[in-house]
Amino acid sequence: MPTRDVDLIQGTLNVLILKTLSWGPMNGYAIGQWVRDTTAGDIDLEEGALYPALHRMEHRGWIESEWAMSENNRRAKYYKLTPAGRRMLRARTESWERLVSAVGKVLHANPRRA
Amino acid sequence: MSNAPAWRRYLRFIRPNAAADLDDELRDHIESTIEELVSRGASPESARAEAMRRFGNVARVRSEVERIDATHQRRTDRLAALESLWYDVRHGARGLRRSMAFTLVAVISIALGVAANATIFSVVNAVLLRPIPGTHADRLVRVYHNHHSPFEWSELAWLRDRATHFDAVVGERYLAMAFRAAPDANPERIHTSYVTRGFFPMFGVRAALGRTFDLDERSDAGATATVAISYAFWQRRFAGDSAILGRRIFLGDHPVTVVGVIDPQFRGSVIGWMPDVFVPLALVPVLTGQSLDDLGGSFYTSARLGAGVDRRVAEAELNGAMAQLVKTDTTRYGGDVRLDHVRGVNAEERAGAVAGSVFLMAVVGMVLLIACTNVANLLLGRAARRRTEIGVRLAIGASRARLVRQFLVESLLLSALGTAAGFGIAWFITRLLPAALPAEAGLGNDYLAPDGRVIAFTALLCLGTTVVFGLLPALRATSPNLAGMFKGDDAPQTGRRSRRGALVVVQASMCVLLLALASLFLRSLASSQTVDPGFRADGVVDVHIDLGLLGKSGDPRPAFQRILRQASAMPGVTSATLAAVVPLSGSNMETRVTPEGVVVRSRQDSPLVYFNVIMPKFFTTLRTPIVRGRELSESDISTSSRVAIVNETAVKRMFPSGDAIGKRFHWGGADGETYEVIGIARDANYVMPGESPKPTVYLPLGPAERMDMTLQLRTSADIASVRTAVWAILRQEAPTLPPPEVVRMVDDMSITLLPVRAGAVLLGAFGAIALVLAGAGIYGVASYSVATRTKEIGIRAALGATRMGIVRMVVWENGRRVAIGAAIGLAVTVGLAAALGHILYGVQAVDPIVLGSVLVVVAMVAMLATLGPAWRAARADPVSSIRES
Repeated sequence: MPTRDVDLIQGTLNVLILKTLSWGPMNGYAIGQWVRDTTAGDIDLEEGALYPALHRMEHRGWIESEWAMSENNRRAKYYKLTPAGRRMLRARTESWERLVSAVGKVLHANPRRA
Repeated sequence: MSNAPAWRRYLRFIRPNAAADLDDELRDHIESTIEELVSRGASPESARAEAMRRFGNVARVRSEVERIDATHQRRTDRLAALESLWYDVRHGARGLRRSMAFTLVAVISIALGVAANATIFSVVNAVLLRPIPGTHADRLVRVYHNHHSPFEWSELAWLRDRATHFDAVVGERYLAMAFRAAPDANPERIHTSYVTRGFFPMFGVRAALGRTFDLDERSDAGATATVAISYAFWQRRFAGDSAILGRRIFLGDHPVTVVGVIDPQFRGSVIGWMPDVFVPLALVPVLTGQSLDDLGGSFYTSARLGAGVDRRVAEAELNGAMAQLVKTDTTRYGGDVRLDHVRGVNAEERAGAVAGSVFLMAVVGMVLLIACTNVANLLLGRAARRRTEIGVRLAIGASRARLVRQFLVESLLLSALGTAAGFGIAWFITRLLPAALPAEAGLGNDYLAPDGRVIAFTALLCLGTTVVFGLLPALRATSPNLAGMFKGDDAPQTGRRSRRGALVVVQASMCVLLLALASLFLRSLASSQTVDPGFRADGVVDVHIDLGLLGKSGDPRPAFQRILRQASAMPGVTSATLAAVVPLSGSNMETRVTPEGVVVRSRQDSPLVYFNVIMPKFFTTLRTPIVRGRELSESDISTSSRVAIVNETAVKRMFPSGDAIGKRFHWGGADGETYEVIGIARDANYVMPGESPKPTVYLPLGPAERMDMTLQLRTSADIASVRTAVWAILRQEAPTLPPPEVVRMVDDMSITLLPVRAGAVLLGAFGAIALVLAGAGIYGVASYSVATRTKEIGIRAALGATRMGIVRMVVWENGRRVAIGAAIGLAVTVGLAAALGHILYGVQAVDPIVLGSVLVVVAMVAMLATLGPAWRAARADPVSSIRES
C-alpha cells in the first residue's frame, strides 16, 4: 500500500468530502472508497479521520444525514450535501484553483534576465 | 438508501441514542470494508485486520466524534432554551399588554414597595455599608481607642512612629473655625479638618483643582501656610471660581494660601463630617500659637495595613506600643487599641445606626410584602380566569414545569417593570433627601445616591418579589385538576378561597402594625410637648458662642464673664446664663463621683452621674427651683471655688443619710478633686423629655474648661436682634469672631425628638402606602369572590335573601379576615412597642386610644373596599345570574 504522502489538513479533507458528496448521498465508507479510487491511491487517508470531519460539517449545516438500510441490510448513515455545503464547495474549489495556479506560476517561472 | 423502509428514519425519534448511532455508523464502515476485502478473496481474519488498519484508532475517533457532538449538543440546547425563554417573555408581555388595568395595578404596587426599600437601603448603605473611597480600600482600617474613636496627638504620634506593619497611620481632627475670605470680609463659621502627614496619599485622594499637600508635623513646622478646600465649599463659597488657587484666605486671624480643591468624592475620613477647609496639622503652631504637644485634641485615626499583614498582628503591634506609652505616664495614658473596618459610621455610633436600619428595613420590608400579596392576589384571580386554557395545555401534554416557568416569566416581567419604576422613584428621592436636610449638614446631592450595592440589592428584591408573589399562583394555577378545568368550573374551591383569604389576613395585620407604630410615634411626639421637663424653655433664646474659633486657647472665664455681664444688660433680657450643655439638645456629659468618706468597694459606691458646666443664674434663667442652698455666684467663678449644685435625685443617690448642703464629693474615684455642695435643685430632664430623674451635678466653669458655651437668655427680644447685639459684644472680645448661631431653646431641643419625628413621618408615610395597598387588595379579593359566586348569590336571592342580607354576607366574609389580621397586627404592635420603650416616652405599649383609632381607620378602609363589590352582588338580577352560569 502507498504511504501517506499527502498530509491531509483539516480544510483539505473537508473539501474532498464535499466534492465526493456532490455526486450524491453516501455513507462514510463509500466516501473513503471514492476518495481512494479517484486519486488512485495517492491519497490514503486514515479512514477514521473522516468521521470527526463529517460530524463537524453536519453541525455546521454543510451536509445533512439520514439513516437508511444499506445493501447488506445494516443500519447505515448517509450524508448528503446541503445548499450551504454546495456553496461552500464552490467557494473552496475556486480559492484552491487560484492558489494552485499562483503556486504553479511561481514554481514554473524562468528567470527573465539571467 | 432508497430501499430503506421509511419508518426507519423515525427510529431516532423513538430511540434518540447518540452512542448507539455512532456505534452503528462506525460498525457499518468497518464491516463494509471487511465484506469488500473478503469478496476479493481475503480471509475473514486478515480482512478484519486490514479494515482496522485502514480505519485507524477506533477508540480515538469515537471519543473525538463524541466530543464534537456533545459540544454541538450543548450549544443547541442553550439556543433552544434561550428561544423558549424568549417565547415566554413575548407571550408574557403580550398577556400583560392585553390586560392593562391588571398590569398597571401590579406594577404600581411593586414600584411603591421597591421604592420604599431602595430608598431606605440607600440610606443604610451610606450610613453603614459604604467604605471611605480610596485606594487599597480592603487594607484601610479605623484605629479605635477603648472602643471610642479619638486619640490625643501625642498618642497618635507615638503609635505612628512605632507602627511597622502599616503603610501609613493618619489622623484627622474636625473643628469649627472662624473664616474670612479677605482681611476686611465678615467672618464666618466654617468646619476645618486638621490632617496629619500622609493623609491624602493614604486615602488616595487627588485634587480636583490645583494640588493636595503633605506636610510633616516636625520637619515642616515652619512651612508656608497652605490649605486645600473641599469641593462643596469651593462651589458654595467661591462659586467654583478657578482663581481660588493661590488666593489668601483667613483662618482665625491668620492668612493661609489655598493650593487646591479636593476631589468631590472625598469628604473627610469620618462619615457625617463635612470639612470646608483641610489644614496641615503642621500649621497648628502658626495658626494657634500652641505647640503640638499641648494640643491634646481628638484625632480620629485611620491606617492602611501593609500588603498581606493580618489585622490582628497589626493590632497587637499597636497595643504593644500603647503599653510602652502608658509606662511613660500612667496617669495620662491608658486603654487598649482596636482595629476595625472603615465602612459606614464609626463603631461608637454603629449600634444605634444598626438598630435604626434594621427597624426601618423591617418596616419597608412589610410594605413590600403587602405589595407582593396584592400582586399574588391579582395573579390568582387572573390564573382562575385562564383555567380552561391551562387545562387544555396540560391535557395535550405541556409539562407542569413548563407552564410554571411561563407564569414565573410573566411575574418576572411584572416585577422587572415595577422594580425599574421603584428604583427610579428611589433615585429621585435620594437626590431630594439631602436637600431637605439642613444646609449645615452640607451633604452633596449624590451623598445617598444609589451605587452598585444598592443596584444589586434592588435586583435581588426583583427576583425575591417574583418568587414571593409569583410562585404560589403559578403552582396553584397549574395544579393538575383537569376535570374541573374542562367543565369550565369556576366555582371557587375552598382551598383557593382560604388562600386568598389568608392574603387579606396578612395584609390587614401588617397594615395595622405599621399604622399603630406610626400612631405611637405621633402620640409620643405629642406627649413630649406636654411633659414638664423641670425647666421652662419657652422665652429662652440660645446663643452658641465659641471663643475657640480663632484657634486660641487659654482661661475662658474673664471673656465669658464680660460677655454675660453685657448680655444681661441687653434690652428685653430678664435673666442670662452660660452653660456647656443645653438640656435636651442632644448632648450630655457623664462622670463618676465618689461621696466623701465613702470607701469604694464596688462601682456602686461611685455612682455615674450626669453633669453640666454652668455660670451664675442658670437655674433662675431656666426657672428650675433651687430647693435648698443657693445658685452659683460670680465669685464662685472668679475664685475657681470647688463648689457644686446637685439635683434631688443626686442627693438621694449620693447622700442618702440627710442634708446634703455642705457635704463633699470627689470627682471620679476617692483620689479625685473635691467639690462642696452649695445648693440643691429640683430634678429636670437632661437627655430625654419625660425621662425618669437621673442624678445630675452642676459645676462652675473652671480655668481650663471649654471655649464653647451657650449663652441662654430669657428675653422678649427676637432672634435677629439678639444675634446683632451679641455679635457686637463678641467683637469687643475679638473683632474677627463670626456672628454667633442663635436659636430658640425649644428649637435646640427639637433634636432629641428627631428619631421620634423621623419615625412618625416615615412610619406614617409607609403606613399610608400600606393602607392604600391593602385597601386595593381587599377590594380585589372581594370583587373576585363576588364575581365567581354570581350563581350562588343568585340562588340565595331567588330563595328570598334580601339585598342587605347579601351585602352583609359579603362584607362579613372579608370583615372576618380583616379582623383576624388586625388582631395579629395588634399583638405584634404591643410586643414591639415595649421594645421601643426607650425612644417612645410618654406612651404605654397598650394605648387604647391609639390602637382603637387605628382599628377604626383600617376597618373603615376595609368596609369601603368591600361595599362596592357587595353592592354589585346584591343588585345582580338573580334570574339572569343563575341562567348565565
